[in-house]
Order: sequence, then C-alpha cells, then structure tokens
Amino acid sequence: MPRLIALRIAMSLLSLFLAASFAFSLVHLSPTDPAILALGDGASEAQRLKLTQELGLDRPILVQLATWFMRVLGGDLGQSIFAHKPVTSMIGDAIPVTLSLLIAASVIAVILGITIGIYAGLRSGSWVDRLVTSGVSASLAIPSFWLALLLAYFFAVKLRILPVAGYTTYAESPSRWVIGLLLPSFALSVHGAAVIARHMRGAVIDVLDSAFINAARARGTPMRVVISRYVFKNALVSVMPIIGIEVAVLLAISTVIEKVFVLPGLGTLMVNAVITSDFPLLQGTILVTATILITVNLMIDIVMGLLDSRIRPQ
Amino acid sequence: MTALLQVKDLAITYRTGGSIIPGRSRTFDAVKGVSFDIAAGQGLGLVGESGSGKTTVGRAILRLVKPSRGSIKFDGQEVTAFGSNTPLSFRRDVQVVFQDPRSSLNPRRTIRDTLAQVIKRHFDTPDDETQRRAAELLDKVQLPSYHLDRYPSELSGGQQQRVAIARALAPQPRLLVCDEPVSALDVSTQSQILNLLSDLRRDLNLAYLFISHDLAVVRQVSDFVVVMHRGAIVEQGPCETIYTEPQADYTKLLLSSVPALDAWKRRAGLNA
Amino acid sequence: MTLAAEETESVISPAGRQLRQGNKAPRPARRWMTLIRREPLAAACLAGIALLVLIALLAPALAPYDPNNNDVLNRLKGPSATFWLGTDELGRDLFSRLLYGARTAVETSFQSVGMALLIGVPLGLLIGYLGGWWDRVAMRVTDIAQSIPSLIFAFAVIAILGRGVNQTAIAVGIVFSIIMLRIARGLMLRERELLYVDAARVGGLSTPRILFREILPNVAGPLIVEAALLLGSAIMLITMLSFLGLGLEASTPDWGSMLDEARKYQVLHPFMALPPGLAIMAAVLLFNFTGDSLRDALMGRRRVAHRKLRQDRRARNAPKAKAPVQDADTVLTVQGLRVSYLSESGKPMEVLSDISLDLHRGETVGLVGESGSGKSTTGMAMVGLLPDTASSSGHVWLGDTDMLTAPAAEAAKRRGPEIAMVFQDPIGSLSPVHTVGQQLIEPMQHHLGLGKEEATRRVIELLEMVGIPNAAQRINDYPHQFSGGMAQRAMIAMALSCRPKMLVADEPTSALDVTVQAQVLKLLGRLSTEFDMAVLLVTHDLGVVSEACDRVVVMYAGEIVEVGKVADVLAKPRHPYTYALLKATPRNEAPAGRLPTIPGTVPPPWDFPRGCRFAPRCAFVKEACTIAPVALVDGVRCVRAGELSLEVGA
Ligand SMILES: Nc1ncnc2c1ncn2[C@@H]1O[C@H](COP(=O)(O)OP(=O)(O)O)[C@@H](O)[C@H]1O
Ligand code: SF4
Ligand SMILES: [Mg+2]
Repeated sequence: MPRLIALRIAMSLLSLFLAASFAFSLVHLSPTDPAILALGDGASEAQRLKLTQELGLDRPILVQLATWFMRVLGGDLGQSIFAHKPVTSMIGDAIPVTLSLLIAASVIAVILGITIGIYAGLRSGSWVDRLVTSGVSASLAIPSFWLALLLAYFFAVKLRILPVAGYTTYAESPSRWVIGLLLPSFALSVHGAAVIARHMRGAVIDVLDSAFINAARARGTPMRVVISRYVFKNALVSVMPIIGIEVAVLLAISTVIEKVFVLPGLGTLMVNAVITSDFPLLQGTILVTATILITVNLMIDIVMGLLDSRIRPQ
Repeated sequence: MTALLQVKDLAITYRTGGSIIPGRSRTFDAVKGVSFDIAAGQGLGLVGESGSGKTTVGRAILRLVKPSRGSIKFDGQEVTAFGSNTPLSFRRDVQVVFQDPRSSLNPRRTIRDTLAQVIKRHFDTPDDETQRRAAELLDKVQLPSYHLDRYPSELSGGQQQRVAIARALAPQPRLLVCDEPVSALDVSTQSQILNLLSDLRRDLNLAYLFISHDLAVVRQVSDFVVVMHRGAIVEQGPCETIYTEPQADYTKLLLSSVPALDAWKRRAGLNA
Repeated sequence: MTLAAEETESVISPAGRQLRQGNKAPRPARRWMTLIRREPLAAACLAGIALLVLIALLAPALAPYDPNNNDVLNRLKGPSATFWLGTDELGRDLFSRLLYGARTAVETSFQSVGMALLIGVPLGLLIGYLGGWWDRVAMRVTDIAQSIPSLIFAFAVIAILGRGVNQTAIAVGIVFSIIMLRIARGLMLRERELLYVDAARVGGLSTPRILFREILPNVAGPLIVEAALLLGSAIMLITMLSFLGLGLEASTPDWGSMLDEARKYQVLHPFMALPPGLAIMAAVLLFNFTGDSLRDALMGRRRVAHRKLRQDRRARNAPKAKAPVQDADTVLTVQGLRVSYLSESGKPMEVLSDISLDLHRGETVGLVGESGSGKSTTGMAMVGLLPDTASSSGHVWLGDTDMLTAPAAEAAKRRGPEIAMVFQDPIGSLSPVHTVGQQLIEPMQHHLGLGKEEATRRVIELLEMVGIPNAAQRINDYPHQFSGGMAQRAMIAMALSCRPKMLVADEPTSALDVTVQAQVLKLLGRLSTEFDMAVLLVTHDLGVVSEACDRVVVMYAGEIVEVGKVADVLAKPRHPYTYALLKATPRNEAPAGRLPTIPGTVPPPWDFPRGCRFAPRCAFVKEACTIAPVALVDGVRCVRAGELSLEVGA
C-alpha cells in the first residue's frame, strides 16, 4: 500500500504539472499579445512595452514557464485585470462556496446512485428496474440548469420555503448556510446520481453473472451474504473510477448551478474571466479546478487500492 | 542439406506493467536461447506446458513479436533483419493457423472475401481467377463451395478452422506455423483437422512448426520434437526417440502425466 | 470415407438462419433492414433524429416570425393564438426562436461531433495500433484534458477563440476529439489482440489496409454508438455555454440563451422556461436513446431475465413427489431429468432429455461427452443451481430433498455439508477482491457454525492436506496470486471442508497443465476414498476417465447413451458413439496411418434428430434408427446394441 500511495502521489504531481503547463500556455495560445491580455484593451503602447519587460514576455518560453511556476508555487497567481485584486484572494473567497456545493452534491449523488443502482440491479428485468432505468435516462437528459430553475421556482417562488438565491457563509450562520445549499446541491447531484446508479446497476448485473457468485452459491453461502459481501464489493470496485469522473462533471455543472442560485463560487469567477478576457483569473481558476479534481482522483485511487489488491504494485 | 528454417539462440523479453519512467518497467523473459532447425517438408512439434514460450517462438518466426536476441533464418535469409516492412515473399512462404478459429477470422468478411483478399494481395489475379482459386482452396480443405458466401459465425469451429487453413494455404507457403490448431476443437473434429493437415503436408510438401501442449497430438504429426519448459529447450530429437527414450527428467514427467486411455488396465491390476 | 461431406450440417444460430435466406449473403443494406425489423426502438430513434434535422433545415419555412423581430409592444406575453409560446423581453416570438434554436443545436452539435470523428477517430486508431511510446505519450497528453472537465476546457478554448457559433462548435469539437481519440484507441487495443489482425499481417496486408479495411468495420459500430451519445452531450454542453453567456452571440436563437432569459423573468413569467428546457431534454433523450438502442442491437440484445432471488414460488407450485427408496450406499438419485433453456428467439430448447442416474458412496463416476452435450447442465442441476433461464422437470434426490424443486434456502443448506462442487476455472471461482482465506472459511462458518478462528485453523489444516505449502500465509493472499493448480487444490479443500457425501467436479483439470492435472486427479482419487464420498467427475477426456473413474456415463446431445463400469465400457463399448469417441481420442502411441474420426459435428439443441441423435454420424446407422427416439435399455441407447460387436483393438 505505501508503494501504491507514493506512486499515485507522484502520478498526481505529474498530472498537476501538466495541467499547470496547460494553464500557463493559455496566454500564449491566444492570438492577442499577452501583455495586452494582462493590461486589458485600453492599454497604451508604452504600458505594453513596460509590462512585456516586467513579465519577461520577451524571454524564451521555457524561462517564462519556469518563472511562472516559481510565482505560482509562491502562492502568487497574479492580479485580476478586471477586479484589480490578487487572483489568490478572489479564489480564496470562492473556494468554500464551490467546495461546499461540490461535496454536498457528490455525497448525495454517491449515496443515492449506489443505493438505487444496487436495488435495480438485483431486480433486473422487473418493473421496479424498468422504472429506475427510465428515471435514470430521463435524469441524464434533463439539463441541470433547467432542473435548477424549476426547483427554484417551485420551492422558492411558489412554496417560499427555501431561499431563491445567494450564499450565506458558514461563519455568518451555519443553519442558513445549510438551507441555502439544499436546493443547489440537490439540483447538482441529480446528474451524478443518475450516472452512478446506471453504472452500479450494470456492475451488479455483471457481477451476479460471474463464476465466483455461482461458486459462492455452490458452497451454500446464503444469497443475502453473497449479495452483501461479494456483489456489493465487486460492483463498488468497478464503479469507483466512474465516481471520480463524475465528480469532475459535477464540478463543471456547478458553474451553471452557481449562476442560477447566484452563488459566488469558482464557476462564477471562471465565467467572468472568460467574458472579460481576464487571463490571470482564468489561469488561476483552471489551476485550482485541476488541483481539486486531481486530489479527488488521488483519493479514489487510494480507496481502490484498499479495495482491490490487483492494482497494488507488487 | 540446409534447413528451411534455422532458429539460433533466440531470446524474447516482454515488457510487463508499462511505466512511463524509463528503466522502471518490469520485464519477463519469455524465451531464453532457443535453437532448432526445420527442413523442407519436415514436421516439427514444439511441446510444453502453458507459459513455456511456445507461442512466443512461433510469433517471432511470423514477425509478430520482436526477438531481443538471436537469429531466425528462413531459406538462408535473416528474418530479424527485415526492418519494419516485411517482404511479401516472406509473407508468402510462411503462413499461420491459430488456436482460436473464431477470433482468427474477421467476423465482418465472408469466407470468399477473406480468401480473395489474400489471393489478390499475393498474385494480383484478375477477379474470375481469384474466385476460381478461392473455390479451389475451399475444396482443398474439404469444404463445399457454398460456404464461400457465409460469415465465420455461421460455421462450426471445425469448419472455421478449415477456412483458416485455406487462408494460410492461399499464398502457397512452404512453412506453416500451427499454433495449437486443434486445442479449441472437440475430439471428433480434432482428428478430422489433424488428418487434413497430414494430407496437405504430403500433397504440398509443406513444412510444419506444430505447437501444442498435447503430447499425444504432437506425436501424430511430427517427425522431430522440441520440448520447452519455462522459456528454454529441455530436450529435442526425432519424434519416436523423445517419446520412447526421453532423456530429460522434465520430458519424462510430462510423458508420465498424460492420461492414458488404457490406464484402467493398470488400475484393474492394482485392485485385483 | 470423406470427412467433409457430412460436416455440411453447419452450426448456425437460428438468427443467422433467418438472415441467410437461400444462399445469398446478407449485404449491409439487408442487414440494416433486419436490424430495423428486430430493433424497432433503434429505428424509431433514427426516425426521431431525422425529424429533428428536418425541423432544423425547415426552420425558416416553419417559423411564423423572424426570430430576431423585436416587438416591444408585445413583450413578455404568454402563449396565445398569435404567439403560440408567447414572447420574450424584446417581444420576439418564442416559438420561432425555439425552431431556430433547433437549427443552432443541430448545426453546432453535428459540427463538433463531426470534428471529433474526423480528428479523434483516425488518431486514436493509429495510436492504439502503433502502441508503445506513441501510445504512452499520447495518453499522458490527453490525461491533462481528462483532469479538466469538458465544459471548463471549452471555457479555455472560447477564451482564446472568442464567442460565436463556429468557435463554440470548435471548442466542443476539440474536447470531443480527445474523448473520441481515447475511445477509438481503447477499441483498437482490444481489437488488436484478436487473431484476425495477426492473420492479416501474416497474410502480408499493408498497415493502412489492416487499419481501415480490416479493423475499422469492426469498431465502426461502437464508434457510431459513442458518436450518438456525444451528440447528446454536445447539445447539453453548448446550451450550458450559452446559458452562461459564453457560447453564442446574443442574437443567435438558441435554447441555452432562451433559458438564461427565462431565468431573469422566473417570477414574472415562469412559463418561458418550459419550452426550451423541454426541447433540450427531448433532443438529449433522443440521442441517448439512439446510442443505447444501437448498442443493444449491436451486442445482440441480452435479455436479462428477471432474476429470481427466491425460488420458493416454483417449489410451491411443483407437485409434491416422494423420494425413492434408496439403499444405504446411494447418495444421489437423478430421475428423468429434463432441462430446457430459453433460446435467443424466446423458444425453449431442450438440452437435457431423460437423464437418470444413481451415485454411490466411495465411487468416482466419469461424465464424459463433447462440449455442448449437457455435462455441465447436469452438474449444475445436481447442486440445484440451474440458471434462472432454465426450466426443468424430473428429480434430483439428495436423501429426501429434491434439489431441483427445494426452496433456495433449503437447497443452500445442503450445498456444503451434503453436496459440493468445484469448477473448471478455480481462480474465476473466487471473488478477486476478497482474500482466499475469507472465502474458504465460509462453508464452515455457515454450515458448521464455527467461529472465524476455529474455521481458519481448520482451513489451514485442510490446505496442508491438499498439498499447499505455507498454508497459514497463503490464506491471506488474493486469488490472482495463486497458480491455477494451487487454486484448484484450495477449491477442493473448501469443497470438502464440511465433509460432503458427494462432490461434483466440472472439468476440474481441463484448464490445468498435464503435470498439474495428474497431481490433481491423484489428489481427488485419494480424497474420495478418504472421505468415502461419491464423485461425479465431468470431463471431455476419456483418458481422464480411464485414469480416475470407476464408472462412466457417456453423454451425447443431451442424452445418456451408455453407462457402465470403466473397464467394461473402455474394453468393449456397446454404443457406436462411445466406440467412435474412443477410437478418435489421440493415443500416446506411434502414429499408425490416418486417425480414426467421427464425421460431422455435434448438432445444436434446436437441431437434434428425431430418432437416434447420433444417427447422422453413425457408421452403423440403419433405417430403424431414425424412426423414433431410442430408449436407454440396460445401460445403452442404441437399437442395434444387441447385434453389434464393437471391439477396440489394442
Ligand atoms: N445459460 C444457458 N442458456 C442457454 N443455453 C445454455 C446455457 N448453458 C448451456 N446452454 C446450452 O445447453 C447445452 C448444454 O450445455 P452444457 O451443459 O454446458 O454442456 P457441456 O458441459 O457438456 O459442454 C449447449 O447447447 C449449450 O449451448
Ligand atoms: S441407434 Fe442406430 S444410429 Fe443410433 S447409435 Fe445405434 S446404430 Fe447408430
Ligand atoms: Mg461444460
């Protein structure tokens, strides 16, 4: 196990390095001069030249990459062009919002998805199963932002039992923090729950078909034990990687959810960065997003290693 | 007489577990210093248990894996020196029949397509000639010609194997590598295919490299036998000598492990 | 005798037969037709897509108004006869915008998926085919894209390229190209392992030809499925982008931006959100369904029968039969067992007919026959584990329990202490994510009520008895760390852990090397004496029967054709099939001319002859053989048993 963890951490660092290089390269891939990008459109020629000098934009690209990395490692992601604030502090404010939303939605999605998937998989072919399968198909096709709009309309506008929009920090009021997150995280979780349920159902059906289940029954192990011990764990192992992928998808979808519920999270920052061509902010948010997801996948890899000895290095 | 195929000191190493960090990937020596010759028209049996490296030797001769050391000479030509493009003449001379007839035929091609493609590639024949040859090949493997327009999934295992043999015969090879050609078949079909292979060998003066784990089968089709164990040759010699006077302990163990059809006689004696 | 003439009775599935009427090969067009006939759902989906495309193309003709026609007097109106779906903040007709939105959706999604197919697929196939360093480098690079979600990757591309219909399609196209590349590579890696690719290389075909003519047609199906699913994702992604105000210019009529406007008037004019949302959902659902149903059609839909967790119902409905009087030695009695499976076409096909058999303490009985003769089905029936797709009649008496009809829980209680089973693939018989020890102690925990420690101690003893060195450590290993031979020993140890009266061993040595086979057979022989149990040894090898069995049951095409003492049957078989099988089995002897063969092949269950099932292949067939089913008389099922004298020369 320690070898696996070390190996996975090394891999994660490599991925992180590659993702960071991608973020760095954004500025250079843009047809616009990076100095203009950094200064915004209204900049004068003199300002441009000065900044080109300052940022070392006239130096070789690898040198620039190295300096940029040093800066990022030192915790400096530059100044937002639009907000004139350090990107780090803007992201620092947004991260709790997005993480609370993402974690809440992921937990709901995993619990719902796995429960529903197992339930349907064990009864494959029955009407319950058909109901679940149709429900899952429908949930996969519902645009999350539309679902969010409908939920907001129903619970906030019609029933007036939940807030329409806005975010209350935990420090301000824990209870309002929770209440404010209820609708957004549920709206976000639906897609994840559907995907996980779908895969879990398939995995359960496959596992039930496998030789070792037959063998377990042949040695007289009661079906209840066969399911709780063998079916569950084997199906879970094959669904774990899907969970990792799905967290990434949820993080992406959270941008639209943040917009519907007016939550000041990472997604909002990112969207503003694109609209205003605020490249330092965009680079920062992409880097942070990648970091979150790489960490999630690292955790999943480690859990996989704990569950399944086959992937541990010998 | 120079041999048709000369394998000398052949070694093959597989990479296992792909690491992107150079030098960190593990390797596995599948074949270690294997040498043998096959004369024109000779049947050479390569026996050994699973994982002993038999198939890998065959695949190296077919240029489907790269040897890490050693030489393979076919008709005096160094096969390992061909570079990335295998000359068509070599492809014509050396053909193969695999173990699993189902996966060795393209499921989306009719038998006719499968055969015609190879014929055209090697002889660039006009269409009607290609068709004629395809039908002739099917006849050679004793399949009625109405199978030409069938897909592999519509044939039984034995029939599929016959088609695979027909395809191998299409370029008129001199050496046929048979990798466990009857292991996936039932006993009754097995002997049909073995007889067919013997007939073809006699009629076409084909040389065989006959790879199998089944000692009884190898004995029926080989003039010369090579016994492999864990990537290396433990013994080789004329077929009957190996079977009647095995020298290596491993060969003796192998031979004594084969279930004998008349074992009941021995057991009856014991019980009495 | 020519062998092939008789082999023309080809083994084609009923579906294959339907496809091949006359001698004509199914050409692709015909295949699509049959596909449509058999897969109405897929056909309906394709029709739906055609409709969507049509709406997109005809939007200008269908729309009552110009989608960008402002009409401030009529802003934010509800649905009416003039404006079917009402108007937006600028008074633009929502119905017209919805139709034009379909145009935008179709245009952008087809563009982006088309781009993915053109760029991602060839690259993926090539990388997969080349393998090695190419593959590793490409995978690392695409990993970056994987650590950044598609939508956010699209943000980055739009930040660089700017907004607009084409830019959005390109942004999504780049993301999808990477996805397609990985999928195509995965398919290629799988396909490359298939021997037909090697055969093509040996056949001398060039690499491009192998890639595009041999492999591509085989991976095209799955790729089309993925493309259909990506079309759905494309619509989702693109509408999300424009909902966020990033994708298209504000003037482009588009479902995403329509929803964004609806969001602003959520309180005032909630209806606005319904049409575009439903439109997106319908389009995505359409593409997802298309993908799924194409996939099902390609895979030859596997109808998953309703899995019965409780078999009690069947048991309750079965008429109560009384156990036969068994003598003290008899462990298990099979009476008139028949088993049918549901064939793909839904018709039952009988794979076991009229099997009757007794097993006694201390004897090893060989059950021999070629594949498909019904050996495994017989074994599974004995332990009461026929699959749910099977229906059966007759009885399997284990003491006075009928394993065929006993309630699941009741049958489970017998498996272990009274009857046990080992399978051909010992490693596959163990859950890969549990240690071997965890699984081995299970029978003793459930049946003998032992605690974990006591059970573990006994398992270690048992493992030592079957010859596993270091047993105490090895129980903490996982199945994949065992060799086949060691795993089979462990499975045998487990099967014996509750001291059953009977063991069913289904080809326990067929997957093992000969040397290991010899050891395992020896072990089985020793244990059957030591435990005084009945062993049913299923095998296709008469050599194994000769080495290890006391009695032999020969099966052909779902019937027992001959039963007797091994010494009798092998010395002087009475059934022509037994005789032919014996002759055809390769002997470890010097070759003596041509090998004796049995012409033809075993018929599939839907093709069993009416009379003697062996008749089409029998060298002694007479008119009388083909008239009516032949009964098993005095241990042999042959009308000519009395007159034939089948000596096996030494
Ligand atoms: N689960 C199943 N569903 C449908 N047909 C099956 C199933 N299992 C086996 N069969 C069919 O039943 C027949 C007997 O199979 P089997 O008992 O496995 O024979 P053997 O063990 O002798 O090879 C074969 O025709 C096989 O295709
Ligand atoms: S009944 Fe007739 S056809 Fe059948 S085995 Fe006997 S002799 Fe042959
Ligand atoms: Mg079987």
